[in-house]
Amino acid sequence: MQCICGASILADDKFCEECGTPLTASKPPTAIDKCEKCGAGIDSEGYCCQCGFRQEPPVHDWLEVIINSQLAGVSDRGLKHSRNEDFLALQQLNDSQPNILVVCDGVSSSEKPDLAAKTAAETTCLALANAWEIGENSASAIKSAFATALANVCNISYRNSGDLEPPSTTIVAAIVQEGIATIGWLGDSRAYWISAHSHQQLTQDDSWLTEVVAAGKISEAEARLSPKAHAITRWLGADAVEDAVPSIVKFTIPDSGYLILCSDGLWNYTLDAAHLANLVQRSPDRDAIGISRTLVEFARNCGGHDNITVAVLCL
Amino acid sequence: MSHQFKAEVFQNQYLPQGAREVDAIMTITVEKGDSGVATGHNGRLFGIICDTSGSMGGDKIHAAKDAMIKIVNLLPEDAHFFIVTGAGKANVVFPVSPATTEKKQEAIAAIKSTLANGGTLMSTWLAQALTQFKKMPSAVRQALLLTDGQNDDSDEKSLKKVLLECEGVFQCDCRGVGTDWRVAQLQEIASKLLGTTDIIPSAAMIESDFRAILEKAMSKNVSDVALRLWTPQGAKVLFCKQVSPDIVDLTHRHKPVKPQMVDYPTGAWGSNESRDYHFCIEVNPGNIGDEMLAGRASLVYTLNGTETKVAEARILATWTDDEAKSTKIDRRVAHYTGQAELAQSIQEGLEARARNDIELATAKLGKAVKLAHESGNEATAKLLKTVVEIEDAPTGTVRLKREVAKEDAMALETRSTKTTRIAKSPN
Repeated sequence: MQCICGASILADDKFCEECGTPLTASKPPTAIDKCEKCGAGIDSEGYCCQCGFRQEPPVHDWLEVIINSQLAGVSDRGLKHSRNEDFLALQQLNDSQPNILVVCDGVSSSEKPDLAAKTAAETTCLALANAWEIGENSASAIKSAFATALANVCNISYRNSGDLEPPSTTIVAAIVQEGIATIGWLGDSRAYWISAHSHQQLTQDDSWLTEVVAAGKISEAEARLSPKAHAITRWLGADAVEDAVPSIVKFTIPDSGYLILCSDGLWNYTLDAAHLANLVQRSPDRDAIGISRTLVEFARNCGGHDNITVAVLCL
Repeated sequence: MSHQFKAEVFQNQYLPQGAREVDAIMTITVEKGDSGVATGHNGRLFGIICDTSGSMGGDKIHAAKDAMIKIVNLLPEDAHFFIVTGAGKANVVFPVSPATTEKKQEAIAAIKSTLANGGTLMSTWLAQALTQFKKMPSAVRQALLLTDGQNDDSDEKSLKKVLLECEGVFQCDCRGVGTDWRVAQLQEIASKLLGTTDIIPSAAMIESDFRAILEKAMSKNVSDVALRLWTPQGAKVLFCKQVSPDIVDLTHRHKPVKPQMVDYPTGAWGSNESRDYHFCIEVNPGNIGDEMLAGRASLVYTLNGTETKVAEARILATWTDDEAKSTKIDRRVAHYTGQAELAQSIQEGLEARARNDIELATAKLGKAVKLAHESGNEATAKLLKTVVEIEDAPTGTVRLKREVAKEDAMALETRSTKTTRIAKSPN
């Protein structure tokens, strides 16, 4: 047997060892009622009554949002982190459009990053929908939605233990209507355009890596190896209120294809936009949820070192 | 009446691969309130146990008698009390009675006729007190034992036996007057009976100390509270200590409830009381990404044979390969680890000093000075100054004092387990 990339595969392979494409339809992990380690019962909080190991994945370990076959997304804990600190929110205002996509990645070194991500994603999605309905233009709608999200993130109560920052998150949000995608962001969660004819990264990370590469100091490949590669320079949080000015781009959708928003848990494992396009083209399922699952499975298969979130709009 | 118990756990739950030890500090606070668990007790019983052996003659017995009379007068009317005096054998001077005006007068008359003579067999005193306490098993039961001398060596075995019988029946604070008593001896009684030990350097100071003890005893209103700990199968509790307001090692005081579950005694609790406990649990390590419930600690109180759970908190363990997470030590765990080390350095320093091992005593007490300074434990720092000349506290550079009053060394020894609390936030 052969994978679509040409590498040979065995009948019971779950992934192509060459390109990482999943070879089986992926399903979200299901809850279990017996301890995987010792077989004893599970208490109401999800811990084994006997050996104490936690069984049931926390609520947002695997989050799927399916609006329709065109708009969907997946957020997964990954394999190494103990909880999912990413979140996503999607909305389609009416049958014709516009579509709203938001992906947030809570900053691990802050307090309650999971709650920051959830709050920011949900608030932004709702605020964008409201702004749109009162006729605000898309760029100012994104600015005001981020401001509302920031206010809500600042209101999260947390225990100031001294060594952690206040609740913080990255955010990337897109409003898509009549062939134009308006995208705003803070931090290093990204948006990509992928089609049969073209592919490109639409956002520029607010990160140390982007800054040094843009300044021509070192190559991206070298920069990625630095411990500072994931240091972000902008985010949504109480300690960065002054700097929370989003970058905004407008992108005219050239043909049919996919708008993809994702956290670094996915893009870390991609070489570039072409690699991502390759993965999308090889997905066994062509609808939005199928592609989202394919990309999440790819990142898990590569090691799943971080939380992975993908939102897909098929156009 | 209703009391709100709150339990909070402070820990770094992240462990590196293969690590087995989980440290956690649990803070328990009680507040009086309208909501929360309805608690109650069937009265309060306060026992006075006073040494009347020959050595108490003169000033001491006068001061002790005056102080006992003051205590009796101070007892609230809804409390019950009794008085046991002891020498070579014990004497129930006044049996369990309500603290009415009439009964107080009778008790005072009985106190006045007390004489001091005979040896010291503390086991007999405690055995008599035990008989009295058994008359009111549902009351909040607390005692105060006052002595000035050492227990007779022949009593060692009997004392151990009677302490086992008294454990859980009543709590007992111990006070030593002067400097002829032995710290370790009173500490053994007090710690077994969940009480405190302290020195009253001169007879004149007995009264104010008694007043403070009675006030504290009368503030207790939830009796017989146990700290219940569930641990996963295969786990081992390396230690369980009360670490604030003072250090009380409860590790070997556990009573099994059922498999994987033990109770540690905590005695009676008063309103607005707050204590910290330090658990160190060894568990079977998990894989990276695994989360484990390493312990579930709850407070359980028993009234008229019915158990009620009043607070609960979880101790967690999560294995991670993220070193930034696993190498962090929780501030409170670090603080109390330091306080335990401080107490131990003082004990070892004083022991070395008693053996004339000047070098070791200087090193240990110097380390204690440094630790007390770092943690802001001013009370202990002040006591250390009575034993050593401090040249530089931050580095723990000290010289042993040549002349040290015996009472100062004993005060340091008895109070070395008093800890200071960590500030709520470094900001």
